[in-house]
Amino acid sequence: MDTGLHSCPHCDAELWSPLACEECGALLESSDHGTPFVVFGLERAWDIDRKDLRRRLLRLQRLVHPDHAGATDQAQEAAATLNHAHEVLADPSLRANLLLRLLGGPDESTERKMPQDFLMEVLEWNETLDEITEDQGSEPASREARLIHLQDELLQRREDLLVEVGAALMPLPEPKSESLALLRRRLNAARYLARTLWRIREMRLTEQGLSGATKPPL
Amino acid sequence: MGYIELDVVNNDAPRVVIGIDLGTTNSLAAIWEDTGPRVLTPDGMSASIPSVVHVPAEGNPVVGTDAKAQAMVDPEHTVFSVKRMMGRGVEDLDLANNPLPYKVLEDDRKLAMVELHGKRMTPQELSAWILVGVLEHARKATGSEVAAAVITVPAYFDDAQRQATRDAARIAGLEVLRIVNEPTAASLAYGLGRTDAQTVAVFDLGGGTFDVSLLSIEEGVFQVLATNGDTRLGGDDFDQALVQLAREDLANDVSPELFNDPAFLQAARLSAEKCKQALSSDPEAELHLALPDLNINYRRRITRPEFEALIEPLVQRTLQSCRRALSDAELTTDQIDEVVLVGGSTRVPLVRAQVEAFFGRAPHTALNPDHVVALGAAVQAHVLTGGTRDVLLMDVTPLSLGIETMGGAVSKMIERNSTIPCSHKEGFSTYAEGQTGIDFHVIQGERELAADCRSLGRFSLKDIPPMPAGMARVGVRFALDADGVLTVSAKEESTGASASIEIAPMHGLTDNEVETMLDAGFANAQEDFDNRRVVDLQTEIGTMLTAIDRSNEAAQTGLDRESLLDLTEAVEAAKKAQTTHDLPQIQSARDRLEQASLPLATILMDGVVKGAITGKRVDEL
Repeated sequence: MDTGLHSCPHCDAELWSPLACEECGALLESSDHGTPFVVFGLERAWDIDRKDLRRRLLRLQRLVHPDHAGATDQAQEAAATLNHAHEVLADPSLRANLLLRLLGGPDESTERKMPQDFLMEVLEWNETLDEITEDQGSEPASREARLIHLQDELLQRREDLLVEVGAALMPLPEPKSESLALLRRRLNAARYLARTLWRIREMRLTEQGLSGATKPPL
Repeated sequence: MGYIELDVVNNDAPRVVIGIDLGTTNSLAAIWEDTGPRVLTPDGMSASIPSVVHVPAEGNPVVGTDAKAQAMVDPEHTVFSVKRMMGRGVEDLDLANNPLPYKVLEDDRKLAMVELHGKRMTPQELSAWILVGVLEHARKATGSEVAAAVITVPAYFDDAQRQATRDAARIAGLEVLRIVNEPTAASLAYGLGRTDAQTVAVFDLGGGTFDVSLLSIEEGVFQVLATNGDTRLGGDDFDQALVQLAREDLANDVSPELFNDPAFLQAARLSAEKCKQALSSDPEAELHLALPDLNINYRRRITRPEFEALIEPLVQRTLQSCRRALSDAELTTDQIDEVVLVGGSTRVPLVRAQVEAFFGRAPHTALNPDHVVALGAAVQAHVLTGGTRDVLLMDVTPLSLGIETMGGAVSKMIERNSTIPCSHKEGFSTYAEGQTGIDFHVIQGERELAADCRSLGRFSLKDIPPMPAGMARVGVRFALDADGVLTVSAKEESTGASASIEIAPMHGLTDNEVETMLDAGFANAQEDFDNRRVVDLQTEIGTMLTAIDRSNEAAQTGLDRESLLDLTEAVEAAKKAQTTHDLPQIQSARDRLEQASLPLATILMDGVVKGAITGKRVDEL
């Protein structure tokens, strides 16, 4: 555990989350609930059981959600804290970024580089994407096929990258160690991939005439 | 542990909490009883209340069926589709394509208002009257006062529209327990997710709007994963497809101006709707348009396949929204465990078939699709008053929220489809030397440029101590509560100096405005209801009898024997009711008189409308 959790000030039961006591149902006062790991009563680690995480979220939300606990600021904030902590832990790259930060590693503004070998691939992908964007002459089906092909390649690459990131985080490296800079570069690459994948998805949806559907006419 | 506590001690009558489906065309209420929700239906009345408000020159507005009956007689003072105006500007209403018979104006905040008898009414006030009608309905059905309610809104309602809905309830003197998304309410109504974890698609096709929502339900926790929709697509468009067909058939025989004649439009819409409804059960139906005054007597047999070919493109548009929602939730159709149908337009067989084919499973249709949302709202009202903790609803925000940055770009603070409640804090700074204030523009939407998004409001942070550009550290916090209502705050942190902020609400009403409206007598509108109702009904019966008497000649010549006999009997009963003070008797006599006079009204209406158009044309010349 990151911080020592004590017992509930109301019923003395042992706590597994600083947000609420499952025993007596009390919401607990705190100015800072700690890291997302602490919020869910989890060890600080890369490896996480998504199903267990979700169960913990649901158990805690039942206690703190304004619908159940009353629409107080405290309940709103506790529920928001839970939602945010869940979002971070459930997403591998957000989780890796969190661990990197907790270990005192460099952030995106101090270490902006991507791994050297990755840069060559980026140039190629950007070129392919530009080709597809500029090629308005060909059949929509063929453009769609090329976009899907590129998307699959990027998804695979992202998965590989996150496996590498995971391997570097198990077990957790020493705080402020040399390896953290390399980890930051890999995460920068993962971020590039996420953005490009989003761009491809938007392009595909636009081609299918779906882009307008998300926005209600104003 | 804070349950929501209701003051039940200081009232003689028991107080109940209800769920309200505040719809575009109809509204209805439901209540939790012992084991499940039930739609509130007062004796001898329909469960649904037309969302129509008629504002007479004197006296209080009339709501529901009574108001709807005025739509053709006094169109300038009969307001429908109030929901479409909530929190919207006149531009949003697209009046060129959707002309309204009443006068719509814009206030100084560019919000739509309606002018009635020279007096301006906000959509919130009009909506409050509909709520008052719903509350009366609920009181009649339960014999109890309504303490508080859950009100549903489309998943697509933005912050301004939600706020407007809350304001309407405040004006009506109704405590709102929660604003809930309609599709979420629908899945609550079906009690899904009691067993294993499930992913549910809720397909809601109403008269004028379409919504699809994807929810995950696990251990009683409902989480909206994604929502999508189209605010301009519904069963009305199916009717219009049939009207268009009639127009094409008539194009050679009828002058084109006639197609814009209100009498034609109204009659065509009604007969198209009738034909559409018949085609939901019959393999073919007749599209019949009889307008003797316009020299039109049009009949055409429409088979179901013909009708389906007409509406196919519209149904496809709903499926496009389903695809987008699936894409947002990163789901495929085979991961959807349950499909729920909501809204009257899902009775159309093609819609059912296409939805079933798209998701690869038969949808839930056991509950009346017009009642599902109100039933779910009642379930949630039960939950929120501590009735059960088996259910927890975790909603998402339908649109991204952000701040306009230099150059008109958007800095997103909260992403679309984030689970609420949620909050986000970000640092901003000054860009000029010695700058002592920053103006923030809060926006909602998905577009890259602020100008393309919806403006929610502006506020300024003042009293920043002068310092070099970029040195001030201003923390801006966006907090969305469980109702999806946004609070934005900003604080200058580098000096610890407290800075003041001003939020100018652009859409919600200010407290003063609500006070003014309350003073106008809204809060008291429910008091002495029965006595007032007796007086109102007596007056109404009197007016109707006079009108019928005046149109005796038209009745004798224009009505068939059966209708005439029916009318004569109803007139007798109404005259008898005039001598009593018995509310149920007076009410039923009035209702019967209204029913019986409908055929006569139809005959007269053609004349009235024609007169109105003639006048209008002269004006235009």
